[in-house]
Amino acid sequence: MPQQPIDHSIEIIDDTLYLSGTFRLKLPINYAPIFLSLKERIANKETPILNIKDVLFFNSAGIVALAALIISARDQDIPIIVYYDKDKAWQRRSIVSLERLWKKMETNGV
Amino acid sequence: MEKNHVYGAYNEEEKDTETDSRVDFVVPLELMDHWQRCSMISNFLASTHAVGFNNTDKVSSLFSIIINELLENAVKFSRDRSKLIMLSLKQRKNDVCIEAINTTDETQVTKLNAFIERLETETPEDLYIHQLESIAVVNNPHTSGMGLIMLLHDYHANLGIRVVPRVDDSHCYDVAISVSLEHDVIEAA
Repeated sequence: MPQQPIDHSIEIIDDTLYLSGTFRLKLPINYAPIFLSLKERIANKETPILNIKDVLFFNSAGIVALAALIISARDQDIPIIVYYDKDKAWQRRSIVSLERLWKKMETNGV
Repeated sequence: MEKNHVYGAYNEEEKDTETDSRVDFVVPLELMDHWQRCSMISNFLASTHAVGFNNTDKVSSLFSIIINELLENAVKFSRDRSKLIMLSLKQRKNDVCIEAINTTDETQVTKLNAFIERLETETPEDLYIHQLESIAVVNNPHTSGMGLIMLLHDYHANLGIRVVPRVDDSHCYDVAISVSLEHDVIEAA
């Protein structure tokens, strides 16, 4: 069976999780490895920092997984920081919508 | 169980729906064992259909998001992998209509009818938050219609759902889900 092409990348630089490319995995649970480092930061009472400005697409399963992360931070009363590309309409829309989940979600359009 | 159910755009009278151009794409479900094909097909159809709009890249991105959510939804809720999914993109006078049709069973139709009832009684804002809270907190492995809610909430899409029993098999149903966006909304993407 041919290997699936890799259409996204995941990097951790200075405590920030950088995502880039297309994220259209089938189920929210498939995103668990991607957000693992941020889940660990929440468990350690540290602020998770996520940068999605180079993400081209995030499907609804990804939005659900991101919402779960935000709710997890909320449940631990830990702020969460998200950097996004304000010129990408879908990022603007999704982030504004997700902000409603947690008042200590700090969003930075860059 | 009610056999037919119609929601949203499919309730509207045929008005000004003359189609300027139409692209139909048939997707064999067997091909979708490779999940990545949803994205590839969506990007291909979106880029093809975005030609002619002012900001091709942004419009293509918008179309890709809509097609991908409809296609993923159709794949997830189809029950017979020997069947087909029909994708249709219609360019009309005032809007663009993207439609996915798949075949499913009675169990899925019951769930879809319950989802339609929620669409009819809750605002997109409430639905968005309630659904995210319920499926994210319990770590539900499924997205439970979140893609359609996202299109309603984030893109103010005109959503239509139609469930019709198949004549050749009373236990099977054709489910058509359409999303239409006015041209000015598309250009402002």
